[in-house]
Amino acid sequence: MKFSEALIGARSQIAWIAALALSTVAIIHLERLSIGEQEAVQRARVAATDARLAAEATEALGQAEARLAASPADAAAAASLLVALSNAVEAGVLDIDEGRRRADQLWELAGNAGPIWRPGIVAAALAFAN
Amino acid sequence: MTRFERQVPWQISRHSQLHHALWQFLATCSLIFGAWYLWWRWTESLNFAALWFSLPLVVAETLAYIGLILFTINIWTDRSPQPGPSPHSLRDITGDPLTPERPLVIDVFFATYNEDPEIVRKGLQAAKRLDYPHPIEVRVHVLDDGRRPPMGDVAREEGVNYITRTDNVGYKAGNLRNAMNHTSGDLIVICDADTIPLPHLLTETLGYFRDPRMAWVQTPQWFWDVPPGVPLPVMLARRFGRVGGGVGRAAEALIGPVRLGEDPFGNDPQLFYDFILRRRNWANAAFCCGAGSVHRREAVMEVALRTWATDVDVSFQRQLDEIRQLTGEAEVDRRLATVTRVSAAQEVDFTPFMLHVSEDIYTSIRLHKDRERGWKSVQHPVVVSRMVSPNDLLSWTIQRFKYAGGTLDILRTDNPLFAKGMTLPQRIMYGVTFYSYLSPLWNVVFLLWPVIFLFTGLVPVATYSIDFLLHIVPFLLLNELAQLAGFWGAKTMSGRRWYLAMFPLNIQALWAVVRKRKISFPVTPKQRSEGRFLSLVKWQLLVVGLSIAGLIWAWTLHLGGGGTYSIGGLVANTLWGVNNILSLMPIIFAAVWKPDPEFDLPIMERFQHEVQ
Repeated sequence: MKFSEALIGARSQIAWIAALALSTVAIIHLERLSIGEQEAVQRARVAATDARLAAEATEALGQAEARLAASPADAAAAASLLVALSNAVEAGVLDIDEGRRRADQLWELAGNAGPIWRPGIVAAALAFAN
Repeated sequence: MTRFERQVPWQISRHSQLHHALWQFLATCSLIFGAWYLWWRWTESLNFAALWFSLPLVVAETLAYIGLILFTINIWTDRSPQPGPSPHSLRDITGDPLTPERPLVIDVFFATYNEDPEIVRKGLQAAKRLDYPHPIEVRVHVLDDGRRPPMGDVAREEGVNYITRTDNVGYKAGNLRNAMNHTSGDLIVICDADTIPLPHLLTETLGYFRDPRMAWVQTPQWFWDVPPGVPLPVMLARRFGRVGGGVGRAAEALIGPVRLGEDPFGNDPQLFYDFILRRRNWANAAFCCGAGSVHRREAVMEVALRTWATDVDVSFQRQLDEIRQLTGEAEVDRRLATVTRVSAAQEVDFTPFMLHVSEDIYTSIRLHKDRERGWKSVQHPVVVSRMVSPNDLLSWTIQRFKYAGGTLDILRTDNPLFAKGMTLPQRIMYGVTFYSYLSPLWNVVFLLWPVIFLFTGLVPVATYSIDFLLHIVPFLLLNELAQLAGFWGAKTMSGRRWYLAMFPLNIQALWAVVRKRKISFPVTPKQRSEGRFLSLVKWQLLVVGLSIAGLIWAWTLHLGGGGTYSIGGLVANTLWGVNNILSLMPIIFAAVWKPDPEFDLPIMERFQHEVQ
């Protein structure tokens, strides 16, 4: 049997295979669109949350700086600033290098620190890890 | 022109070794991916929230997969015995040097009941013209179960033997048994009333009988009156004039010739004879299909005698037990035992061909089970006879119901799969045949489940996600590619559609057999019945209607923002439903089909014209 004759005989099956392949591609595409929509919603939600957190982090950083400026020897104020710096870096309102530089200035106060400093040190370690 | 228009048989598929290797590679990959898919289905994708809906589908998928394994084994290879040179004499086919070296004697049987004697005459004339390269004696016999004087007249006019009997016990099988009692040829050619043997029938087939264990050779049943359908350009030109004709020609230039209404009853048997049956040769499991087969008389009679002796013995023992129970004696008197044995011998029928609606396959099983003699069979690929197909849905239904009911009846009453005698490959091959007739049990699920999804949103799998596609698509694609390679040269889609569409008929046959109803022996009509047979396709119509309604309902709901359909599930079930509709449409079309007077009738009526 000639190839062309066999091909004609197999037309329906080839059409079936093509339909299967195309529909699979279509379903994957549609599913991805659907997944993409869900991701966009999620991203928008996260973005809204991020903006709120950024504002709060900026405000908290300002308050902690003001408190330490008012009481430079207050270990609790220094620890509070360290945590605020860490949060600001995490929230993306402060560059990590700038945050690390300013945090370094606070380590001198850590000498007489106690349990007050521990959470701040851990938060800074996490924020400035990279 | 298609081969249906030219009225020529199909070309035998001859695949190269590389081609076979490709088919076997793809088939193996398909089965492995299928197993992986099913494993995932059973272990990770059942929907426990709707287990009543989920479980039947996975069971149906598993059963269908088992069928696929069996079918793959069936068509794994086309390794076949090759015929030797045409035998000169009887000695050449017995392998016994003491056998006389005389020309072979061939009996050609034409079994008839109520068919037009003029149809039979064409076959008788053709049988008298059979070629053979050596001296041979061909004796042609009309086996008329209708006891009709006009049939006797035709036999006399043609100078052939006329055999009839006083009753119709066993119908066709009984008719053949009676003929064997009145004849003595070394080999027997079985023809139906509408069979026209071609001149090369004996030269093509007798070479196989050089093997003294070759019991029969089956040849393809080629229906030469299959309606060829109307060419697409002609059909479009009839509806839309010259523009339509032009569009049709353009379409044909792109995708090749298209014939609308070609083979409306899916009768073309190429797939069965050239692939399914022929590829059982390696397992020595090609069964006899009746017309177009050549049998060694010795094999048929010897197996019949053995079976008869066994049955007599069973009957004798039963009667002895009854006598012992009645008399309370441990030993039965010797003279009484002798009389009982004679009674048992008279009680049991001696029959070369099993008196059964599927006498051909039943007789084949009996021969294949005779391990001691190791009888062989072969499906010869070359078409050496032609016959008439059932060209209306009523005749088609009668024929297919007989096939299904007869085969399932053998499975119930005399299951050969676990009986002694057959080899494992033979058991598997017969298993494929029996198993295929159980398919409506899972096909019903495949037809109805998308309908339920579309109306309710219920999902039979845990999720129609990309994970689902990842598991099912490789399996489906590989399966399709494997079949494309394995059946290259044949049209498979038509067969698959009819296989699915036959579900009500097969369920009916299954139900009749389960209730132990006798499957009757009606003769398949040789004349076309005019009419619409929508009542025969009412279940198919119902499924198509429900599928269409479900599709409209689901998409309307989804596009309107309602429903709980996932897009993946909706698309997948839409494709599934559309596939079901396309599979059921051919049989619905066949129910209302009328032959085209320009293209179909000349082909279908050529036989009648020849007769006239």
